[in-house]
Amino acid sequence: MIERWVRGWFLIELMRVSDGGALDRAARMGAVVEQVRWTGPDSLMLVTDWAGLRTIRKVYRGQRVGMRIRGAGGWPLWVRFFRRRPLWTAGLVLFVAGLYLLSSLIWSVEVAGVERIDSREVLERAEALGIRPGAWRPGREEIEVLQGKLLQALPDAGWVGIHMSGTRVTIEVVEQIKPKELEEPGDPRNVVAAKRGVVETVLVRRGVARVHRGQTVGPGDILVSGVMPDGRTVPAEGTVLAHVWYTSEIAVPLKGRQLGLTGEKRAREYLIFGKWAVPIWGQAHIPFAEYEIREEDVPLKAAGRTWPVGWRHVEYWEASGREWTLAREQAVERGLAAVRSDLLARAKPGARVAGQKILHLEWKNGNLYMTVWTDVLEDIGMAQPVAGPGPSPPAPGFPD
Amino acid sequence: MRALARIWKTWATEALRLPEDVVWNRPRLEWVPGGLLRLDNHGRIVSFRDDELVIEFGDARLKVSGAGLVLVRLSPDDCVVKGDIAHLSYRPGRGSGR
Repeated sequence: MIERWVRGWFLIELMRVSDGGALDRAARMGAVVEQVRWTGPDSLMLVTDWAGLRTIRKVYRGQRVGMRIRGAGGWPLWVRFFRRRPLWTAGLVLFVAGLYLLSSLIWSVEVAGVERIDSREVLERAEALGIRPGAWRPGREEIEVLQGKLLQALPDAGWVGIHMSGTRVTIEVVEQIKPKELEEPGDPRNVVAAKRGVVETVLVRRGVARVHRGQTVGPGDILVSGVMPDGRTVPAEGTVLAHVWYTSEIAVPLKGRQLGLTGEKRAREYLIFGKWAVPIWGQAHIPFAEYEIREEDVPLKAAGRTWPVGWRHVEYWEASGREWTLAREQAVERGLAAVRSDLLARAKPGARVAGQKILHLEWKNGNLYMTVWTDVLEDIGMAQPVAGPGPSPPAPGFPD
Repeated sequence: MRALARIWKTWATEALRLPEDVVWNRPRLEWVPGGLLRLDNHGRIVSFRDDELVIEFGDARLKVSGAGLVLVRLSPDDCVVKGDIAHLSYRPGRGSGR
């Protein structure tokens, strides 16, 4: 059926035919003749293609046989149709191209979700990034990048989303909700312990120290008071370094396999229809034993919407595995280092590890299991507003 | 399907008294289910009417008789006939039997 459509077909009626044997001559001259049937005592109906039509004409030339085309179809006829109407065809092509072009542009930009931020500022920042009426519609990946850039350009925004709806772009902004500023110098506050520890040094910049070296403090204990001896309240400030002890459990594998890319790759192209992907181009067999797959989908965008049809580019990157093994000493050192970096990452800047001890160590199933005690010297202070004027000013000096 | 074609060819050789050469080699008749008769490497079509198709190859003649005969496909390579095929007759040529 498809072959017939590609070749084009004609339904022909031959009149005043005495015998169908002459068709054999046409067939021998290369014509493909199908569905030859008698429709009357001297008329034949048949289906043939463009070349067959000319051959049959040639065979019956000079005879009294009449020929009438009763029907036609297929690709060549469409080509003929368009070739005979060049202006009409050019108009159609221009119309489709224009429709596609216009639906690929941004026609309007709107801002939603702003209260404190001026929407004109958002529009100006977006325009600087290329989101403006008349610009090309950004792709899906481009939108993600633009969202990040717009978020950076708007310091008071907590999140920025760009939504494409046809030719309209909606920029949704979620403004940052700022907590009540404890950092304002005017608000009286104490510095309290955020965690349990043994105080090592106390450096007071404003306020009165309430702890001394060697003192054990728990969460919530006041370290530096914002209530001065004369009853005034001030925003206390200071650094209280304390020994904080952590017990961590960690498992370290002694063997592993690390994959790295060699740089070799193969690509395949697919046409996607909804959830179906039809391979169009590229090697069927990927010659790599191990590989990493990276996919990129480009959906068809036309007439202001995204269609469930598109193109998929898939890259197969060759990966080569490397086995690694750790000696027991290396595994222990790696475990301790992992604990150190984990604890320091969670502490305030300036913290350091004062000591580490292995409480328990076990080798099991190719893994090292350790329980590690770590002493971290860190600033445990945290600001807490003063509830109100204290009943009596605290005594200066270090309490017991 | 091949077994069916083989059974038909055997029947055509024995019951219709068609030469083996005609059935198996030239024009190599093939029975296609659905009332179709396919003739590969066919000879010259001498006449085609609603009720009769006469094919000549060399001196020999093959006549397909029936009703409502339709040439489903006619090309230099093959000829497929459809219809209510009632009878096949064969007249051997001089000498070679074709």
